[in-house]
Amino acid sequence: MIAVRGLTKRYGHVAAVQELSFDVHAGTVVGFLGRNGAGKSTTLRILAGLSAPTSGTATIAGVPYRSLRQPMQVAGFGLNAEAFHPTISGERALRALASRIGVGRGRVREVLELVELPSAAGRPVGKYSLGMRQRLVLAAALLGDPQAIVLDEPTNGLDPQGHRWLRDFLRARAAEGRAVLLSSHVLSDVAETVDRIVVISRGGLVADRPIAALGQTASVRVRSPDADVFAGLLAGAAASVRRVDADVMTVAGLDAGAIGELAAQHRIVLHELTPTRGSLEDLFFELTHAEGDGLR
Amino acid sequence: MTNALTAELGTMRHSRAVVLSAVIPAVIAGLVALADHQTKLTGLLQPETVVLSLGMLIAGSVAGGSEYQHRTIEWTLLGTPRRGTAGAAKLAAALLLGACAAALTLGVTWALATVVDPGIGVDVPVETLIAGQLALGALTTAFGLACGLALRNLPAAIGTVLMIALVLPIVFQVKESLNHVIQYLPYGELSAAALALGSSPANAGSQLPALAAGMVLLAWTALIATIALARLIRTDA
Repeated sequence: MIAVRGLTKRYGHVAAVQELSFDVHAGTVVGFLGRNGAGKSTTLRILAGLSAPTSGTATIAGVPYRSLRQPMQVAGFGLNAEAFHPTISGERALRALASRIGVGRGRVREVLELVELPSAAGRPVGKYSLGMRQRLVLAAALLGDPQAIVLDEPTNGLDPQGHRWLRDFLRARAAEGRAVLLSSHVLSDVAETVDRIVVISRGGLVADRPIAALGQTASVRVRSPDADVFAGLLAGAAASVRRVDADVMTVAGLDAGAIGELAAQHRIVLHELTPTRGSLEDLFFELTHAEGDGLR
Repeated sequence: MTNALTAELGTMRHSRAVVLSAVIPAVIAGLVALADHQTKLTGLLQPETVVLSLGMLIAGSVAGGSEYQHRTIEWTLLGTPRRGTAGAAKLAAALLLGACAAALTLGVTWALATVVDPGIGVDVPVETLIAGQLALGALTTAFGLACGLALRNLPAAIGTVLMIALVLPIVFQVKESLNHVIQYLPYGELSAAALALGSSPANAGSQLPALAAGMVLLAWTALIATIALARLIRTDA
């Protein structure tokens, strides 16, 4: 349904997106992950036709968004919760959009009820909370009853009930056969919502895999008063080490037995040696580690 | 195109700037008609014409610039991703609403003037008067909108149209050797009056006839509209 092929976007000498390729198939929810500035929003804006790629293609149902005859009936985008005039009401904003895409007013009421926003529909958008604006964005994206839904950080500003509601809502849309692409940095939401993850770092693809495969990724939690020394030894044994605390680290690439033997050989005291199932958070930090510790 | 035009008309007619730009000149025209017993309609229309065209310039620039100020251009282009169509619909809506605002103002002035003095005369051909007023409303609104779309910045757009309408003519008027250039500026009190009233104010000196003044404003509007469309089509939103 959604196909990104060799997508590159440059701003002068800076490459925001580099040779990015991935697919989102009908009936699936794909999580699009990356740190701030990794290129997620740029990719989604190119997919929506708001930005032009330097090279490569981003298509929906086989054609670029700009070439679709009834674009919002094919793909609904929710990219920016701030993109509303603050003095007009949510309902009027949706009516203007509905008029633009040839959809009746009845559908406006339908989507407002779908996102559980009908009581606030008559208030100016400037008086909405961020969570309410997120629901309005989702309502706008759904106006055309699209087969693909693309959302950029839709959980920002939602309360815990809102997070759960959105998870269930998106799973239900996928169950109807729609393709859902969800960009987020709230990893717990993504882990419970998506079928696949696409992870990008510095604009390039670093992972594209089913979420189910994550549980098979083993790591070991190690706690030792000699963590600094032991981390060096583990790295020398080709293990991947992520420091969690001064005396705690997560180790991948060696099982608990091999780690224990290595510690015994070098007379390292261990206070904890716990095999854990791989988590999305572990994978995310491992894959985006190259970007450094600071936010970009 | 039809859906995009309908949406633009719906959005713009709810814009406070557009509504005020239509209502304020009509009110001013009404007050002048009641207070100033002119014998000719064109005499009453002179102050109204200046306020109308200035108001529609600002209203147009607000309609164009606020799309970027509030990022609503993203919804515009998601709903109408063919950018030429989106831009053309905006310009067409501005032309239509500007003409409607001018018609409203002219109608109010004429009606009140007739009530005050049933024998008031029209010293230019009626069709010239109507065509000039509608053209002035339409073109100034489209000019303002195009400035807003081209600059993508609301304060800059309003500042630019104010400079063009108010400051530039004064600069050219102060320098006597450049006086003759005023009538070729994109907008000026004198050229607006010539276009809308079909005749020169008594103290205007040499001035273009109505049709030529209309062509000058049309040419400037076409130029800035082309720049706005090119920027809309070629650059990222």
